[in-house]
Amino acid sequence: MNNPSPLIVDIKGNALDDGPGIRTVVFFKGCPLDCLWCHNPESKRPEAELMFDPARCIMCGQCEEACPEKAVAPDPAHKIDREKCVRCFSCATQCPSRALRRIGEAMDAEAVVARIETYTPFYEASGGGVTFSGGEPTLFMAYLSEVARAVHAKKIHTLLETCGWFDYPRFEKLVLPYVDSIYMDIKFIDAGKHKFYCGRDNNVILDNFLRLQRHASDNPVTLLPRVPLIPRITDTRENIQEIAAFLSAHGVTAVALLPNNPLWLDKYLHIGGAMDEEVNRRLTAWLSREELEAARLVFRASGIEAM
Amino acid sequence: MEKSAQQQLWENLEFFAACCNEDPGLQSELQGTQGWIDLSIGMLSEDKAVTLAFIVKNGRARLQENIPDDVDATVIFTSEHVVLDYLKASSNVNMILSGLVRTEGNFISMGLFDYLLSCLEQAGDAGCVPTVGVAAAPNRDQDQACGALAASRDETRKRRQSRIKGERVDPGVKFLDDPCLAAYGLEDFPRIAAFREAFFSARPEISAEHGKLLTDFYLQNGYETQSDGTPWDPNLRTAKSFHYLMAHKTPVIRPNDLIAGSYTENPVFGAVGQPYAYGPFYWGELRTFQRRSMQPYRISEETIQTLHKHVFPFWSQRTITELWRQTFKKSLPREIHERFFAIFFWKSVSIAENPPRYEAVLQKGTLGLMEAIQAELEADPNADTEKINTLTAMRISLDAVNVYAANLAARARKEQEGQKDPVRRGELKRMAATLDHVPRYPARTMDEAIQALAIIHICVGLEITDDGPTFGRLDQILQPYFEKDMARLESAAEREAYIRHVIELLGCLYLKQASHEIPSPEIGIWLNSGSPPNATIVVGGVTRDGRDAVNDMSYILLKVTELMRLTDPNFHVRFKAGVNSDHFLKRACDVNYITCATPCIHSDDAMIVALGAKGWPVEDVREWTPIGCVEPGIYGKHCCSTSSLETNLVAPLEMALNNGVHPLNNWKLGPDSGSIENDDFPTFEDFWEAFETQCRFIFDQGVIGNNELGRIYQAHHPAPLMSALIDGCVSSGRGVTRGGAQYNSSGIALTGLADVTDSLMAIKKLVYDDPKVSFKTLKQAIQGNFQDHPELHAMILNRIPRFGSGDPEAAAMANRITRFINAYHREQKNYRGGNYSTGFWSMSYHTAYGRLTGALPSGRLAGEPFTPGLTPHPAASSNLLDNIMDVARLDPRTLDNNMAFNVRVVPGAADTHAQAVGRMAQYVKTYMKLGGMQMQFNVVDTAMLEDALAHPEYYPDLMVRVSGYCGYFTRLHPDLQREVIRRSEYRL
Repeated sequence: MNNPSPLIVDIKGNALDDGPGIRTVVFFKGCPLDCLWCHNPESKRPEAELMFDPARCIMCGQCEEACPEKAVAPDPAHKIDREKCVRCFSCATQCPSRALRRIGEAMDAEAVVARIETYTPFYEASGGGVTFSGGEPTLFMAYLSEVARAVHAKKIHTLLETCGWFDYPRFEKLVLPYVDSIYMDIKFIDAGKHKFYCGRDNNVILDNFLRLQRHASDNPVTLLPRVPLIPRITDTRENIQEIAAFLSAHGVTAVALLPNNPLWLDKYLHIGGAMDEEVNRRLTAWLSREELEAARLVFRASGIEAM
Repeated sequence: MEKSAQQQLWENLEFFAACCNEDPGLQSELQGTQGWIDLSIGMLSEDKAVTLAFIVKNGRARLQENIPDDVDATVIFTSEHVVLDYLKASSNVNMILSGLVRTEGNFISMGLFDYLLSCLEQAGDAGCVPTVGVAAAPNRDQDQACGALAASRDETRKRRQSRIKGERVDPGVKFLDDPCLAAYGLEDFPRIAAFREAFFSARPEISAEHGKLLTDFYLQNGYETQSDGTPWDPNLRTAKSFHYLMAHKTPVIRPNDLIAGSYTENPVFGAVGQPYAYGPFYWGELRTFQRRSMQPYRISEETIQTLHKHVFPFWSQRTITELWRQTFKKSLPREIHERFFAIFFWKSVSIAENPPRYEAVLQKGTLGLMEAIQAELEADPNADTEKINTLTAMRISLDAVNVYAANLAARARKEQEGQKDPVRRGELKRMAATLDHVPRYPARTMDEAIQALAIIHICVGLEITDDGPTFGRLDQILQPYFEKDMARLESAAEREAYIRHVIELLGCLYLKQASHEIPSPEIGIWLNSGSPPNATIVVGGVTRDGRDAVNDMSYILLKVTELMRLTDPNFHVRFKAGVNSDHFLKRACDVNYITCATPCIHSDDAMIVALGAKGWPVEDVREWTPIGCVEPGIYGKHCCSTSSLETNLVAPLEMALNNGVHPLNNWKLGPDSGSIENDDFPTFEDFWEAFETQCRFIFDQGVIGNNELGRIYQAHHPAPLMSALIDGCVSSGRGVTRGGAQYNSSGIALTGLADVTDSLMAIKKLVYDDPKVSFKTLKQAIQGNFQDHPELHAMILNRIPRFGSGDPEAAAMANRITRFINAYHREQKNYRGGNYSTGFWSMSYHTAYGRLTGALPSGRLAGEPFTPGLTPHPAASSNLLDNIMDVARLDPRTLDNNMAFNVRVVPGAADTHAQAVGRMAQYVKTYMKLGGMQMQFNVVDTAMLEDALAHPEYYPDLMVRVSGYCGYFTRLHPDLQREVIRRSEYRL
C-alpha cells in the first residue's frame, strides 16, 4: 500500500451516540480541516502526540528522569515544554499513572478489524456496528477501504463520519461500496466563513455532499447531514437559515444537530493547546435548550426535521 | 500517675457489680422465670495486663482476679490499650470486626452482660428515631431543590407513569390482551397501596411469641429428655413443639387484608427471632434496639421482659452456635467463624434455603399428603424407627398447619360478627370459608391457592427459620387456577375485574412476605445489611419438557412486582434464549427499569449446563428455582442449603502472602506454604501453589464446620414439615437433614473473586512476566498500604489488566480460580451425602470482609470493600461490554451455586422509556448468548444516590440490588451505601 498507514487515536466500544445501536467507534488521527472548535483536538494532526492530564499526575518525577531532552518540568501546571519535546514518548512509557500518554498508535488494518469484531454479538442484538470517525477517516482512503471492506463482508453495519473534504472519485471507488451510512458535517454555506473558521473553503464539501445525495437516492446507503451548533459561530440565525435553504433546495428532509460540548477544551489543553481568551469565552459555553430549539424551528420551517 | 487498664476496668465493673447487688431494678433483672439468671465473664488482654472475672450467681455479683476455667465466656483484647478503648466505645462491633476483641465461650453470655449494662445506662424512655413513610415524604412543590435534584426525586415516579403496553406474543399467554397490564397503576389498588404505605411508615416490632411458646412447651415437656426422662426422637420433638406453637400462636387477620395469617402479632411489620438461631444474639441490644441508627426496631417492655427473663435464659445454652461449641469442643471452624474474617457459617442462622413443594399442598391438600404418608408407613413393613418417627413427625407437623388454619377460620368468623361494613363482612365470610377448605383440601380457585400458599409458607418459615424458603416457580404453580377461574367468567368486565382481584391478592401476599424480618443484632447489619428474609419468586424459563413456560401468571407477577416495589419477595426471571420471547425479556427489563433494582435475570442455558454437570436428569434441572439471593435448587426435590458458607476468598490469598498467617488477626492459622522473604516462589506457579494450599485449608474448615453444624441440625432441628414437602423424604423415611431429599448438595458463596484475580494478575505481571518489582518490595508496599510506594500503586491501578477489562489472560485467571474452587468442592461430601456447589455472590460480606482485609496486590487499599459478587472492579474498563464479555467467559459448570453480576446503568438524557428498556434487553440477550449466567441491573444514577444519602426523606422506598438481594438504599449500612455509589455507572 502506498498510502501511509494512519495512526489510531482510540477504538471505543459500547458507543451509543454515534449511529444506531451499540457501536464501536474507530478514531483516525489527522484531518484536512482545522476547525476552531474541533471536539477531538487530539485527532487533528496526523502524527503522534503527547497528552498530559495533570489530574492523574502523582508527581513522582519519573518522567523527568526519562526525558532525554529535559522537556519535562516538575510543576504539573507547565509540565511539558512543547518546544523542546521531540515526541520520543519515553516519559509516557515510564509514567505509572498514565497522566502522560502517547496519542496515536499505528495499527494494521487486520488488528483494527479484529478489535471491531470482538463486539459483533452486541451489534447483532442491537442493530449496531462500527463507526469510522476521527479526525478524518477518508484522509487514509486505501486503509479505510481495507478495513471497511473487511468489516462490511462480515455483515457488520458500517457508518462513516466525515467532514466531506475528500477526492470523490477515489472515495466512490474505494470506500462508498462498503459503507452503509454516512454522516457528513455541514458547518457553513458561506465559503469565506468556512475558510476562516475551518482552514479551507467548502466548495469540495458541498459538492461532495450533493454527489453523495444523488448516490444515496438510488442506492442502499443513508446520508445524514449534521450541523455542529457552536455558539455565535455556526448557530447564528443567518447561518442556520442558509444551511436549511441549501439542504431544503436539494430535497433533504432530516438533519442532526450537534450542540457544542465544551468538554473538548480539556483535551485541547492536555495536548498543549494554547488558551486564547476570546476562543475560550466563545467555545466553552453549553448551548441552552432555547438556542437548540430555535435552531430546530428554523429547519422545521424549511421542512427539515432536526434531531 | 494514670491508672492501668486493669484498675480502670476493675473500678468500672466494681461499680457495676454494686449496682447489680443494690439497685432494686437490676436485682429484678437477675430474677428469671426459671430462677436466678447467672453469668460469668472473663476479661483478658493477650499481654495478661488485664485479667479479671465478673461473676453473677444467685443474684449476687462480684469480681475476682483469676478467671475460672468454667467461665461462660471470655472477652480477649489484643492489648490493654484496647481495653481502654473498649470502655469508652458505645458499640464494640467495630472492634470485633477489626480483630481487636474476640470472644471465647458462649457468645450469648456477652449479650446478657451487655443487657445488664444497658439496664444500668438506660435513663428513662428510649428516644425513637422517627420513620418517614412514602406519603409523608416532603411536599415536592415546596421544595427548594434545584432542577437536577428535583429531577432525581421525581425520576422513579416518571418511570412508573411512562409505562408501556405489550403485545400478546407468548404461546402460553392465553388471556391477557396486554400482558404488560399498562392500564394499571398502584392508585387503582387502594387496599394494597395503603398496606404498602403502612409498611414503609412502620418500623419492625420484635415479637416474643415464637420464643415464648417454644420455651413454654419445653419447660413443660423437657428438651434434652422428655419430662418422664425418656429420650426424645429429634423429629417428634420438633413436630410436637411446632404443633404447640401453631396451636397457640395468635391467629391474626389484618384489617382489610384478603389473606389470613401473619408471622407475628404485628401483621404490618414484625420480627420473629427464632430463639435457637439468631434470637439470643441480640440479648444485649434489647434496650438499645430502638435507638440505634441502623435498622432500629420497636420493642415493648413486656416483650423485653419475656425475652430476657423467660426465653433467652432457657435458650442461651441451646442455640445452634452454642450446641456446636458444646458438641465439638475443639472445633477450629467455629473459632474461625467467631472471628468473622474468613468464613461465616450461615447454619448458625438458618438452614432454610431450600425449595419445598408448596405446590403439593395446593394440589393434594395437607390431608392428601398425610394420607400418602400413612400409606407409605403401612406399605413398608420394614420401616425402621427413624422412618416411623420421621413420618409420624411429618403428620403431626402437617396437622399443626391445619390447626393454625382452623384458628384463623375461627378468627375470621369472630371478626365477621363484629364487622359493620357489609363489603368487609362478605370478605371475611369468604375468607372463613376458604380457610375451612385450604390447606386441608386441594385448592380449587386462585383465592384458595394463594391463601394456602401464605399459610404453608408461614408455617415452613416458623418451623426452622423464616429466612430462605422459596415460593419457587409461582407462575407455573398458579396458572392452572387462573385458567380455571377465567374459564368460568363470561363477560370482558368480569374477567377484567378478576384480573384486578388476582393482582390485589398477590399484592397482599407480597406484603405478607415483606411484613417480617430476621431481627438483626448490630453485627448482623455489618454482615448482611438491609437483607430481608428473601423468599424468592421466579417466572419464565422452560417447563420440564423444555417448552416455553411463560404464561399469563408470569406477566401478572411481573406487574405485581412493578406495582409493589418491595425488596421481598426477591423476584427473579428465567430466560431461555430461543424459547422465551424477546417481548418477555423486555418486560423483565421494563420492570427492572421502573423498580430500579428488580428482577434479577438468569440464563436458563447457563444454569442448565451448570446443574446438568452434576449428572441430574435435564427434566428435573429445568425445574430449577433461585433461592435466597440467587442460588439454584431443584423445585420440590432438593435439599440444597444454598448459603451454607460465606467464604472470604481473599483470606487465603492474604495467608499465602504471609506463609499461613492471617495478617489482621496475626493468627498463624494455615499451614506453611512458603515465604516471600525467603524467596520461596521462584515462579508464579510456585505462588499459585501456595494460594491453593491456603484455599484448601480454608475450604476444608468450611466443609468440616458445615458438616458439624449439619449434625446439630439432625439432632435438634430436623425440619419434618419441610421434609414432608421435598420429594424423597417420605419414601426414604429420612428428613432433609438426614439426606432424605432426592437431590442433596450444600451451597457456598465466595466473596472477592475479582479482587483475587486482579491481585494474582498484578503479582504475575509485576513480579514475574515483566519484572518491575521484587515480590518482597510488593509485599512491603501492601503492608504499608502503599503509602511509601505511590508509583507502584499508580502503576498497578493503571497498567495491570483486570478481570473485566477484556484482557484474555485476566479472564483466564478468573476461570482458573473458579475451576480450582469448584473442582475442590465437587469432591467434598456433606453430612447428607451430597457435594458442595460454588457460587460467587456476596450478600454484603464484600464490605464486611473488606474491613478485615489489608491492602492487596490489586491496589485495593486496606479496609476498602471488595467488589460485590463477582462484578469486575470499576477500574477494569470504561467499556461495559468488556465487563459483560469477561463475566460471560466464566465456565458455568464452576458456578453451580450461581453468581451476582451487578451492573449499574442510567438512561441518557434523551432516551425514552422504551429505548432504555430496549438497550437493557440487548445487553442481557447478548450476555446470555456469550454464555453469561446471571445479571442484575441497578438503574439509578450517582446523583440520585447521593441525593438519597443527603435527603433520605425523599427516598424511603428506593431499592438497590446489593448482591443477590435487594435493600432499601437509605436503610443500608453506610459502608454499603458508599460501595453502591462507587460502582461503575454506565449509560444506557
